Amino acid sequence: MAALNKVIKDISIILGVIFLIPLSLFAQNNDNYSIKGTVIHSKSKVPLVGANIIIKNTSFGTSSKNNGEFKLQADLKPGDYILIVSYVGFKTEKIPVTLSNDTTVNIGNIELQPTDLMGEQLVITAQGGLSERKKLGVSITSVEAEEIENTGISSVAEALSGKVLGGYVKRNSGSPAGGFRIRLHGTSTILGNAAPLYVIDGAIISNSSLSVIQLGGTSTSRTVDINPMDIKSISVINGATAAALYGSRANNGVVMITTKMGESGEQNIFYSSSFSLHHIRKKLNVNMATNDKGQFLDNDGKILHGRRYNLQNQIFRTAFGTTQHLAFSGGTDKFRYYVSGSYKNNEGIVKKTNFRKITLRTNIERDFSQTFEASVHLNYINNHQNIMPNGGLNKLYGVLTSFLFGPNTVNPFPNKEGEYPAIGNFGNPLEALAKYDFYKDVSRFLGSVNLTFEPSDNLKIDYTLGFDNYHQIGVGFIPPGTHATNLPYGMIQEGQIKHLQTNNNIAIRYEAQLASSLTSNTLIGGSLQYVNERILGLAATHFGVGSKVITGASQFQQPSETRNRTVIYGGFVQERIGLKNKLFVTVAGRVDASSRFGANDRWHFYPKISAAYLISNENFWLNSSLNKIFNRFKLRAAIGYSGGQTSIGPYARFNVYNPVSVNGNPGVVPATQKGAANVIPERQREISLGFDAGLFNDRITASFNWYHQVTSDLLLQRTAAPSSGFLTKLGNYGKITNIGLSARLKFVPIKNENVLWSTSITFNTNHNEVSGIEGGILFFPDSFGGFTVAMNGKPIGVFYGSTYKYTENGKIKKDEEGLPIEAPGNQVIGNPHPDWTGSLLTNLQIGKHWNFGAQVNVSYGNDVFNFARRIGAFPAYGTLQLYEDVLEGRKPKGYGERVFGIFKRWVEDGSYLKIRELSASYTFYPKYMSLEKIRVNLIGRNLFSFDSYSGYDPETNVGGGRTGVAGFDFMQVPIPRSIILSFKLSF
Amino acid sequence: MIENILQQKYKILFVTIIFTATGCSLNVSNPNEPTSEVVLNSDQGIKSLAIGMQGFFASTVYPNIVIDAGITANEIAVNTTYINLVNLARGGDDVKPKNSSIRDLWKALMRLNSMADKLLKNAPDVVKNEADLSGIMALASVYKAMALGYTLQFFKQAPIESGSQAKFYSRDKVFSKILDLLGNALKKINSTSPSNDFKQDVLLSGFNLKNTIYALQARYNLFAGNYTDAVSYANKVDMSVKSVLTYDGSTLRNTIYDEFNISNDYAPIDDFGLPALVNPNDQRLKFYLLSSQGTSNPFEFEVDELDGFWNSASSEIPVYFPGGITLIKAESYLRLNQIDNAIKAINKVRTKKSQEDPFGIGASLEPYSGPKTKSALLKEIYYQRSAEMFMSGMRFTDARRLEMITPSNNPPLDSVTRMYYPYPKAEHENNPNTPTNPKY
Repeated sequence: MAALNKVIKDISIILGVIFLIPLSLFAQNNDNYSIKGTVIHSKSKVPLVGANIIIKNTSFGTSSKNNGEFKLQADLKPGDYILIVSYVGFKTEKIPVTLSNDTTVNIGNIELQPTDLMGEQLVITAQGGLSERKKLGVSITSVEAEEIENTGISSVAEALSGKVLGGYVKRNSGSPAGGFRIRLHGTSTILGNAAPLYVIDGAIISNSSLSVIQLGGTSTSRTVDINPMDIKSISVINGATAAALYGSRANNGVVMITTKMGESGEQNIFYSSSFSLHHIRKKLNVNMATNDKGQFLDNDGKILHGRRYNLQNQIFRTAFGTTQHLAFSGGTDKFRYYVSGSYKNNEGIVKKTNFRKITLRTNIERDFSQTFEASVHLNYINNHQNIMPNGGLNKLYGVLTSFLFGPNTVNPFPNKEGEYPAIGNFGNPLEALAKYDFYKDVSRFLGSVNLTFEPSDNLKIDYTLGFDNYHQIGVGFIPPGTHATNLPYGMIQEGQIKHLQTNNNIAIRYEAQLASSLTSNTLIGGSLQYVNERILGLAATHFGVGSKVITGASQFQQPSETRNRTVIYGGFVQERIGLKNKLFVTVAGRVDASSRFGANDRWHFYPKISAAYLISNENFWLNSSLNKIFNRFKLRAAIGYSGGQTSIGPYARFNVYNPVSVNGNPGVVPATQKGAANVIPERQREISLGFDAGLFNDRITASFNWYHQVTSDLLLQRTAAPSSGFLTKLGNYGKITNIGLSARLKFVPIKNENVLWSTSITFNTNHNEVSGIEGGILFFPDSFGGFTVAMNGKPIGVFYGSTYKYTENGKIKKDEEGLPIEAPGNQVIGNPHPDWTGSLLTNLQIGKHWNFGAQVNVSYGNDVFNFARRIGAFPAYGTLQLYEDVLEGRKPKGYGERVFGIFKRWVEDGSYLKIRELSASYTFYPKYMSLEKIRVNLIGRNLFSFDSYSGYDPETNVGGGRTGVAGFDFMQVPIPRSIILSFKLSF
Repeated sequence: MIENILQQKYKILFVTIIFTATGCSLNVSNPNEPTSEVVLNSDQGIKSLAIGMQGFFASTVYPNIVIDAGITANEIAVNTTYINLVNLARGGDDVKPKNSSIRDLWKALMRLNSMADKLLKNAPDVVKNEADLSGIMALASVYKAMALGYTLQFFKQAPIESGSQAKFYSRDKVFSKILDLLGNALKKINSTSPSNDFKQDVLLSGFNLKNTIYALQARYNLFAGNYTDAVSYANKVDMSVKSVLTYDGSTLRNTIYDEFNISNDYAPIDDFGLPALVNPNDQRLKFYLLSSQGTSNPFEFEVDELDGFWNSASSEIPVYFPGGITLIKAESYLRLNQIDNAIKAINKVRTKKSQEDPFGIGASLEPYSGPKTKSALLKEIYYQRSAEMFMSGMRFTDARRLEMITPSNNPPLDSVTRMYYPYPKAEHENNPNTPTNPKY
C-alpha cells in the first residue's frame, strides 16, 4: 500500500509539474502538523534570525524568530517531506522529515554554513578528490553553479572570465561559437598549445580549436560543447605546483569541471528558458568622402558618378537566440541521478550565421553496498554551425574582409536578374552573404565511469575511465560564378576530424592518525591515457551547375590524411602530513611516459612539495589582538615540476621519408627534419607563495599569490648541419619565464536579515620572457608573414616590424610633404599582453526576491595590431575613415601609401574597461505545491566598453587558439552587446 | 542477493578494464609516413630510396650544380635582383657564408651523400637477391662518388661520411675515397651482373651504369692528378653510348628549363661567356644557344636563349660527355708532357661533326694551329671543355685546374669570380669540424 501511495505521489508530482496543478488537489486525509526547530550558525553556533523554512513541494513556510527558533504549522497528509532552510549568505540546507502519527515534530538544531567560506570549504584538487582548502599549499580558484546559472554566460570559458586568480580569459571572436584565449600563469610554450587541460568528471576532454576548413578567425574551441547549466563547479588549477595527477600535461594548468548530481531523498525538476538579443556594439567609420559640394569622391579623389556605400547595415543584424534547458535530478538513499537536455539556437550578428546545439546528459550514481559505489556520466552533444568566412589568415574569400577591401565606391547590390557586380579583387560581400555556404557539424559523446571501493573509513580506491569521442565535419562551398578571388568556377573544401581519447585513472587513498596531533593522508595512483585522431581533408574546384558536393567538381586537389596516436603512462605518490591541524605539508612525486618521445627519453619524474601553515590557529595568535581582526590567516608555499608535450608531434621522434614520384616510379627521400628521438618534455618549475586571510569573521577575505615559473627545455626548431643529412632538428633549446602577482579581495559590506551585498576584486599581472631562440627571433607563421614573433628577452608574441623615424624630442619625423618617414630596419613595436587585468564582481541580494549583479573586466596596457585599419587606409581599398581624411584633405596626400609600410602606425592601445554584465532578477515563490520558485532574470552582457581603440573591439584575435599570435585584429566578428531574459523554474 | 551479484560483476569489470587498458604500448607506430625503420629494413624500402635518390639528383642536386657553377664561371647571367644571386655573380668578397644559393647547393650535395650512405650501409643486410644488391650498391657508390666529387668542385674540403659532426677531409683523401667507391662499384657489377628487375624498376632509364663508372673514374683520376689512370679509364668508355638523366616532364621535370624559360631568372651569356676565346665558326654555339638580342638585368650581359639540353621540361641531360672524355685524355697527355697525343685528342674534339657524337655535339672546326706551349694548350683545353660541355657544372673547377682564375677579392664580373665557395653558415654554426673559409 505504501508503495502504491508512493507511485501515486510520484505520478502526481510529474503531472503537477506538467500542468502546474497544485498537488494538494490530490491530497487526502490531511493532519495538522507542527514542526519545530532552531537555526544556528554552523561555526559560532549563534542563532540565525530571519531564516526561511519551507516544506518542499507544499505552500507551507515560515521564518526563524529572535532566538533562531521556528514553528511551522502545516496541513499535510502523512509521508516523507523535505524542509528547505535558507538564509542569505549561508548554504541552503535540505532536511528530510517524516510525518506520521505524531503531529508534533522537533527537528532540533539546524546548522547553516556560511557560503563565503575559504577555510573550511571543500575544493576539487588535481588529485581528483575533495580536499579542505585550508590544507592546501596552493591557490585554487573555484566557480560554483550559482555563479553560472544566474548569469548570462553560455560557455565554460565565459564562466571563468574575470574569476581566475592568476589567469586571464579573452574572447577571440564574437561569432556565436567564437573561441576564447585562456592563459593560466602565462604562456609557457612556443611551439605547443598554451591552453589549459580540461577534465570533466575525471575525463580528459579535447579542447582542440582545429578548423578543418579555412574560415579565418572564427575557430571554435571544443569546450563550447559543454552545457554550462550542467556544471556544479569548476576548479582552476594553475601551473606545476598544483597538478600532480596530470603531470606531463599540466604545464598550462588544469580546468576541472564537475557536473551536477541529484541528492538522496529529493526529486527536483529544473527548467530554464532564455531569450536573447544580440547586436553590434560599435561600427567602423567608413570612408564617405565628399567634396565641398557634397559630391562623393572616388579613391583617386575624382568626382564619383554614384555614391559610396557603407555595407555594415547589410552585413550585420540584430540576432535572436534561445536556450531551453530541462533537468531532472534526485535520488533514493542508494541511488542518485541527474538527467538533462538542452537546446540552444543562437543567431550570429553576421547574417546567415548561427550556432545550434543540442546536449543530453545522464549522470547516475549507485551505492551497491556500504563499501562500493559506482557512477556513470554520459554526455551527448550535437551541434551545427552556419558560418560566414572572414578571410582571416590564409584565404582571400570572406564577408567582412571583402567589405574591408572594397572599394566601397561600386554599387554592390544585385541587378534585376539577381547578378551581383564585381566590386574589387576580393569579392562582393553581399554576394558572399547570399551565395557562400560554410558550415560545421559536430557529434560528440563524452563521459566517464567512476568506481569507488571504500573497504574501511580510512581506505578508498577510485577508478575512473574517461572518454571523449567526437566527429567533426566542416564544409566550405562557393558556387561557380561568384566574384570570389581566383575562384570563378567555385570551390569546395571538406574536412573531417575523428577524435577519440580515453583516460584510465586509479587512485588509492589511505588516511591515518599517526599520533594524537599527527595525521597522514597517502595517495597512490596510476594513469593511462590514449589519444587517437584522424584528420581528412578534401578540396576541389571547377563546379558544374547544381551540385554542392565534391563529386560535382572537376578539378581535385591532393587529398590529405593524418592519423595521430598518443599513449601516456603515469604513476604518482602523494603524502600529506598534518600537524596539530595547523601545518600541512604535501609531498608528491609523479613519473610519466609519453609515446611522443624516444624510448630512451620517455620516463620523467615530476616532484612537488607544498605547505600550508594556519598561523591563526597558533596560541600566540589566538591570544593576541590579531585574532580580533584576522579570524583566519594561512601562509602557503609550494614548489613543483610539471611537463609539456604538445610541442612535439605524435610521430616527430621518427626519421621519416616523403614519397616522391620519379618518372612515374614510386620513390622516397628522407625528410629534411631529423627525427626528435632524443628530446624530452618541456619542463616547468614553479614556485608560488601566498596567503589567505579572513578578517572580521570572514566579512573580508583576501588571497594573495606570487609565482615564479620557469619552463626550460622548451622545444624549438633549429638548423642542423647539412652534412648530417638533415636541415632542421627539434631540440630542447628554449626557456620561458613567467612571473606574476595575483590578488583577490572579497568583502561583504552589508549583511543582515534582508540584505546581502558581496563584492570581489581580482587583480592579475604576468610578465613573460622568452630565451634560447636561434638567431634571437622566431617568426610565427599565420601572422601575415610574421608580424608577431618570439624574440629573446621579450614576451612571446610581440609585434615586430617597421616604425617611424623620430626627432630628438620624440616626435614623428616628417618629409616636406608632411608625410611621416619610415626608419630603416624592423623592431619590436608592440606587446599584445596586458600589464595587468582586473575584475570587479558584485552581487546584491535584497530579501528573498531581488538580486542584482554586475561584472566589470579591465585589461590594461595590451596592444592590438589593427591590420584591418591598415587595409582600409590604403588607396587601392580605401574603405575606412582614415582614407576619407586623406581625400578630404585632413591628412596629407600619399598618407595611405606611406603608412601602409610603417607598421608602428597600426599598433593601437587595446586597454579596455568593459561592463561585462549587469543583471537583475526577481524570484517568486508561488503557492503551488510543486513549484518551489520561479526566477526571472534580465541580463545585459558586454554592454559597454571604455577604450580608445579605433576598430570594432580591442578584445579580439584572428590567431584564435594559436599560441603565438595574440591581439591581432583582421575583421573578426565583433563581440555583440547582448540582452538576455531568462526564466528559471525549480520544482 | 542481486546486490551481491552486481557487486561481483562490477568487481570483475573493474579488474577487466584495468587489465585491458594496460595493453596499450608506448611504442606507437607511425601510419602517416614511412619511417627509417620501414624504409631501411625492407627490400622495397631500399629500392624506393634508390629511386628517390636518383630523382633527387636529377631534380635538385644537378640543377644547383649547373646554375651555381654557371653563375660563378660566367656561363650564366643572373636576370633577377635576388640578393643571393647578385652577390654570387659578383663573386669575391660578396660571396658570404650566409648566401642562400651556396646553402642550397651544399644542402643538396650533403643530403645526396647521406642518402647514398644509407643505401650503402643498409642494403647488404636487407636486399637478399645478389643481382639486385649488386646493382643497388654500384648505383649508391656512383651517386656517393658524384656527391663527393661535385662537392670538391665547389668547396676546398668535404666530409666523407654523413652524420652529426661529420669530419672534413683533404682533397686527396676525398678523391681517393671517390676512386675507391667507383672501383668497388665496378667490381660489384663485374662479379654479379645487376638483375633485370634492378635495371627496369630501380635504375632510371637512360642511365648507363658501367660507362658512367668508367667516365667518372677518368674524370676523378684526372682531378686527382692520376693522369695515366685517367687515360686508361677514358679509353674504356664506349664513345657511342649515351648515359643520361631522363625527365618525364611531369613527375620529374628538367628544372633548368623551368628556371630559364618559365621564371626567367637566368639567361645564358653570348659566346659561352668567353668572348676572348670563342671561335665564331664553332657549331656548338648553335647547338647550345638560340641567338637573341637581350641583355641581362642587373650587370647587362648580352644574353641568348637556351637550347641544347634544356629546350623542354622533358629534355634529357648527359651524365658525362663523350667529347669530354676525349678532352680528359688531352689534358692527361698534356700533364704527362705527351704534347702530340694531347693535340691529337684536342683535334678529335675540334673536328668532330655533330653526326659523329651520340648527343649531336660537333664543333666542326679546323684542327688546332696555335702554339704548342703548355699554357696555350691549357687555354685551348679550357675553351674546348667549356664549349663541349656548356653548363654542365664543370667550368668552375676547370678554370681552377687549368689555371684560368686570378684570385681576387674584387674580381672582374666577366671572369670566374671565386676560387672556392665558403662553407655555408648552417654547417659552420652546427658542425665544429667545419674548416675555416677560404679567402676567395
